[in-house]
Amino acid sequence: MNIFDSPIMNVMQKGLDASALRQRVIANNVANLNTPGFKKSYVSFEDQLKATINGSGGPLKGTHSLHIGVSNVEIKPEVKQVRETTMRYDGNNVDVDEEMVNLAASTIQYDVIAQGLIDRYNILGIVIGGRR
Amino acid sequence: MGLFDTFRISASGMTSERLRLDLIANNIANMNTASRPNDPTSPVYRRKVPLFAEQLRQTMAANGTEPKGAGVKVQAIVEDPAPPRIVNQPDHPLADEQGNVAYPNINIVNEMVDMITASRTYEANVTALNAAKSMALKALEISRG
Amino acid sequence: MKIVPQAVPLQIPETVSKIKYAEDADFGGLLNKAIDKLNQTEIKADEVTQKFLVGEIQDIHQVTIALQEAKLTMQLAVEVRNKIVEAYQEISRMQL
Repeated sequence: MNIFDSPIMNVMQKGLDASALRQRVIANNVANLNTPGFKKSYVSFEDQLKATINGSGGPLKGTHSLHIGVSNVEIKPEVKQVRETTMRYDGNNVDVDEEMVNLAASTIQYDVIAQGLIDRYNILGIVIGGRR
Repeated sequence: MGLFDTFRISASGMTSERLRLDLIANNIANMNTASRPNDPTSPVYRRKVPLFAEQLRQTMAANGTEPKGAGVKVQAIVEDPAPPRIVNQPDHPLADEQGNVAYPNINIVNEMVDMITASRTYEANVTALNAAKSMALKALEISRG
Repeated sequence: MKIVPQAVPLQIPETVSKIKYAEDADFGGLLNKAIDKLNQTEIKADEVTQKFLVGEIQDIHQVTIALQEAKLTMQLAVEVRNKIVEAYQEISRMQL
């Protein structure tokens, strides 16, 4: 009777984790905007998710009637560092404008996924409530 | 660690930039502090610069997905070793035998540029902090429904 | 010569029902599993809250999601119980 084990809810939760991690990484990049020799990092999640979905053949649907799709695959957001580029003479490669844009995008992404979860929980609440 | 890592990261950025601003203000205020050249009893004011370094997390989280970076910290405040500006002012009370007076090696243009950079970085850190705050409030809404 | 192909019974639903419902042959077993799941969500909510208070977990959404799941599962369990009681009362009201 686990009403929450659908693939889409698992992926949404992972999406929230990834967005929060991304915000933390951006905060670190921004705090080190003036640190000599600092190389910025970023979070990679969407590409892995897309690859996993394409691998299992279809949007979060299994290929077999008993297959539960993506939820049994571990997708972890990864923190990667960009080493090759340089913005300034002291080796620092943080671009403040890019970080601000990514921050805004990540915040909106988080809001959208969270709102999706809120709506889903509301629907479940209504369904459970029955005719009341 | 604290309750909210990301708040700490942004706070460290803001504190460091504020320190930099303080040093810049000090440099500008002391731009014309004269001293006698080569006299140990009258030390020349040297330009102060903060040395930033990335603060690394002490312990890694259990699942290893957490980034190592935990903000920035000021490792040290160093003095610019460049030689002082020598100006010939024979009437100055601190002039030496040749009539030279030493002034700090502070260039107002450099200080202004640094000040603008520090200001912009401070604002960027505030934006990051606000983003974290708004995400936390949104997450709270999940359990309110 | 066969013009009309013979109907072949569809295998898959049988397989599904056999595998899926093999263990839940009786209603009591189903109820036990349900209560187990409910317990699990409550335990998970407590665990996650504790980790958050200690500082191991930094993301608020993990806590709120676990709490919301526990709350909805509990709601569902209460509703199921109500319906069971209702059904029992209805049956006991039947005049024989």
